[in-house]
Amino acid sequence: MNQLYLIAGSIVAGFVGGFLGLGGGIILVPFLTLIIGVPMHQAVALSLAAIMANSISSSNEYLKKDFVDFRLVAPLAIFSSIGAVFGSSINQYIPADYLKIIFALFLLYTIYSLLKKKENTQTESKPAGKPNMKLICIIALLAGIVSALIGVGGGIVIIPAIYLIMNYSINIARGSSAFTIGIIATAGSIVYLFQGVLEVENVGPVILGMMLGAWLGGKTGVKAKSIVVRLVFSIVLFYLAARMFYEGIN
Amino acid sequence: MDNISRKSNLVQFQRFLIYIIIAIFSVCIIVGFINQQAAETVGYISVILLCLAAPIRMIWVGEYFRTTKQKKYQMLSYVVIAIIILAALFRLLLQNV
Repeated sequence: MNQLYLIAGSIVAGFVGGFLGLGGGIILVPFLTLIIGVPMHQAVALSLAAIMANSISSSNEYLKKDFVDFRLVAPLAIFSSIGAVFGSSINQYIPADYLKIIFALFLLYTIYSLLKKKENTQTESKPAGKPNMKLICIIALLAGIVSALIGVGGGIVIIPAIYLIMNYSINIARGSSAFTIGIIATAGSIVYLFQGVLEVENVGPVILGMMLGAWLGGKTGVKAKSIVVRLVFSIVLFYLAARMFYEGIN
Repeated sequence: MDNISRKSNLVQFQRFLIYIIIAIFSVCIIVGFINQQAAETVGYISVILLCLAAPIRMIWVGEYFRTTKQKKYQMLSYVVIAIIILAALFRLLLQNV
């Protein structure tokens, strides 16, 4: 596979993800499968490897502002890594077409959450007390399985749950999620690595491309957060979802 | 020591990790252009090094809970590391069977 294509594709995916404030995986997987032609299972594994590296840089920004609650991270990481090990283990037994359909549905959900997203200026955490462990178990397990199965970060499951159900502030939710995602991706990537699904020679181009793209997208995205931009990108995501779905059912 | 200054050590460590990741994967890409087979070996080692970042970060989280005297959460952090190590060992074992 041409490494230059991989680098270029990953930069674009990272840029779009960083621009919209989404995790890289949700853009990277369709880019790799539909545009560069990477098989679905390998794209999922590559995406998880890229998320491992991306989580370190993204969580650092939240750590600086004390937006990572480690009392949330520890239990979240336990159950999400169990979920990730399970998800990556069963991934091999699910045909690529089904994975594409699942991914397309997930993309549609992302479009929905992108369009209804409101600008949040709340910066202080709510007094949350002790985290609700039972709820954390369920959310984390689900996030881990979804993340490892289709190669997304899992933030789209964790953030709304922490923010809306557990009543933490949005910044704590984002920060704790950014830190936990790296742990989930590691648990999933280890399984893919030893299964031989992860093409190690392609990890470098994808990681560096994603990091560069996300950095550029993050810088640009700060200046353009209007509904029009979100609408335009939602159309792009919808196109990707439609193509993934079409390829899945054919 | 307050929360922010405790966490600033981790911020510095993670920044160092980012530089390491950029360096090792840049080497991977350069090697990939020269020799595909060597790129696989270098890539394998790089990915394993990258996988080590998560347990190291969790060790740091465990230490954070030790200094703030939250034993329960300290144990939970170590359980995460155990799960990652067990998953790796289990997969390696399956690979060799």
